[in-house]
Amino acid sequence: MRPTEGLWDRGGPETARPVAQPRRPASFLSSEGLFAWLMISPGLALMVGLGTLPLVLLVGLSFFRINLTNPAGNRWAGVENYIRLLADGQFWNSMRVTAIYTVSGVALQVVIGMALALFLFRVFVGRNLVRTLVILPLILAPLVAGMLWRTLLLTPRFGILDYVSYSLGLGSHEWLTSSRLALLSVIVIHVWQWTPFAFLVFLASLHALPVEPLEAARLDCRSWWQELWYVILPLMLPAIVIVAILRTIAALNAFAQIYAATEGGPGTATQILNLYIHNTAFVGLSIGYGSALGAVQLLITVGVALLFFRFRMRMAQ
Amino acid sequence: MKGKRIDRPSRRKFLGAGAAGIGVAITSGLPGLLRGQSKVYAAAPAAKVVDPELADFEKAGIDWKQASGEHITVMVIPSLFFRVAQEFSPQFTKLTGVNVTWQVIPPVQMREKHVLDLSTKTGQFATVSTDPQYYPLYAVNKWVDDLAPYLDDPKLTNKEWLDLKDVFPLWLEGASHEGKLYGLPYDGEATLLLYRSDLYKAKNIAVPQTFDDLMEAARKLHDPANNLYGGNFGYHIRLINMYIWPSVFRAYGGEWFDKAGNPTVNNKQSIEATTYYVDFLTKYAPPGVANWNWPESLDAFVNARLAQTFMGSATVPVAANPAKSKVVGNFGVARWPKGPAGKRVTSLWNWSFPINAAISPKAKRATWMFIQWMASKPMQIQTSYGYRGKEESRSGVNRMSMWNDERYRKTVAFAAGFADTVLTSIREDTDLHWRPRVPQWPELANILGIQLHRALAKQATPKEALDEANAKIAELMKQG
Repeated sequence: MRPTEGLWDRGGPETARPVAQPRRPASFLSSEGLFAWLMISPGLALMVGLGTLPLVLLVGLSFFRINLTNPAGNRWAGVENYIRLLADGQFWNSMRVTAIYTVSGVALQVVIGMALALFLFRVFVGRNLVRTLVILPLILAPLVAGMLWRTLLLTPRFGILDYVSYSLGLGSHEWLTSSRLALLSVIVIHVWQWTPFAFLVFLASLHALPVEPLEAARLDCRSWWQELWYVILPLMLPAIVIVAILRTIAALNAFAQIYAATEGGPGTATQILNLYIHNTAFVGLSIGYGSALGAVQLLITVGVALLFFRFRMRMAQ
Repeated sequence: MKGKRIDRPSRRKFLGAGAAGIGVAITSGLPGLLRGQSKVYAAAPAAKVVDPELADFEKAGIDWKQASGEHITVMVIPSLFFRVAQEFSPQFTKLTGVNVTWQVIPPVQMREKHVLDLSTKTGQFATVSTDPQYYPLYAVNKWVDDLAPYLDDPKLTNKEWLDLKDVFPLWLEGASHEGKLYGLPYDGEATLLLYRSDLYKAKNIAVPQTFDDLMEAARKLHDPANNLYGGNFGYHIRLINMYIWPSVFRAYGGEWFDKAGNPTVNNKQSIEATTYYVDFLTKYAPPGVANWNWPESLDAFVNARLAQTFMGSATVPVAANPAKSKVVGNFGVARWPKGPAGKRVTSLWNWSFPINAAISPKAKRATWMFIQWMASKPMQIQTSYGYRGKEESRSGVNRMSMWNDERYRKTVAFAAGFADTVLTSIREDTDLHWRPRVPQWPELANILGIQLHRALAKQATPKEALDEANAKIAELMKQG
């Protein structure tokens, strides 16, 4: 490379080229850099102000004893809040409920979403109508979805689903107030509402798959299952991982749907970590301890996301 | 050849235009837009002669306009009684020159926003409809002003005209902490037994006087095959348990704390009360009742699915409204039955207005004018029997004299003896310690509500649930 080649070298005739001068550092105020910073600074400030700073504040508050019901006792607490949560039965219960809710919810969304996408990928009469119907739950606000299931669908004896269950001889059940069924019910509500998201991503991915391997698979594989297992699913793996990442983060941060359906009850049967944090900080007004719980939630969410991304990067390599 | 020069937009011009646009927006009212006000009533020009509409307020003889030009934001719950008050907001502006923005938000979210506003001292809300339970918390934190200086200043208050002796004393006590008054009540209620008088008559059942009578009536009336359930205690979804259960607990002789200040919610009386509560609901309430809030309970009663239930008196107008109820003319109201401790215990419930300590002195004066106006007798009259008739009438005025006034009693004749039942309940059955009056109340209610819900869902026996609650409350109180 010639020493003068670079950003300003447009490759003109040798004679027209100016004599090489040592490049003076452009004044910051007149540089493109300033303009770039000016352009991105409002967005950056918003992102830092609304996203990063509250998280830093959250972690900071977790080291204080701040209880609004007794401000006289507020003080620096070090890791006291974190030690307290290790012995807190409700915390461990909410961790257990969160794990069941997240793992089963995401797994069901991926499996059902994939099945629907594979089914509706095929051409048949009325396909577009069925696709539209499938994505309808997605347009509801989670709070509305929770209320809808709590009132119209699962109310014992009057809810549509309970009525169907009763009519089929399966009995009427306390879907949301029985400790045996409540967690299952809120998982079903979650899966019902968010499977369409998985379905849409998978359907788009199926449309984008290369044709050649699929045609070759059709000739080489003995059955559709083989074609699915050895060709389609490996090709779809990046989409599956993306759906798993996004839905796991969303499930870990779920709130409105469960709040509307059960408020975390009966007792603490459906109290995921997010609800416990809300209850501790905003109902019980224990801001310091609530922040410690929030910091744990943050750590889990970031940890899970990093794991997934690492897996995806390894896959890409 | 030089063509005509085209004035292209440059970066510099683009930034300049953007900055100018922002400047224009800021100076031309964007702040008002950002405040997100739902309703703003503009101040009217001062009247030279006394407006007949304001005559009853002008009798106070104070300078109502001393905070003229101020703008206050008031947060209330969605309800008939506050909707009616909002309709008179232009009158308040005409009287005082103070503009009011009303924000209407459901109670749970309202309390969260209020606590957030008070604790961060942002002064967003000049005053908020507040239930008695929160005053200890607000007072301990000095988030709201002691009202004594306002009441004792003749420039601000004509005590004779305001006549707080006519307001239910326990409602004022509910808005007080350690002898200091922090809020003035606007509207309130008592929880009552609502029962199907036609069914009582058909089965020859007398109005229950004791908890045993209540259980027996439920047993006789329970007919789930015909979609009729023997009874309900009102509302039970998680923390909402703490609206009705305290009445049962206190009627059984339960005490929140012993003399040394240790919690006693797992003592013998409490376990018996909770066992009764759970038994009654398990045997005679509709399935899924553990997830009910008050709309579901009211809905079941007005749709003739419940033979008896406990509700706040403010909901009775709905049961008497033919457009919304199937039990019009076939229901009655009664005081709480006596518990084993020999007493009837109803809720201590009213909505009062404190003054946010974080707002400016002028805004505080404006807020005091607002609070006085809301609590005053002329306002209570014009929003109740002075209003549009029975269906739209308030049923929870704060003045004892009005409960004895035929004009008011006629507009609240929703059921036989309604006014007398409410009045007697408020006077004789209201228990100041219906709920513990401690700043830790929000967390204490949280703990107990969840444990009661566990007992209702059979996740724990009443004793197990209360033992756990008591241990957690002890820990809470120890932390301070």
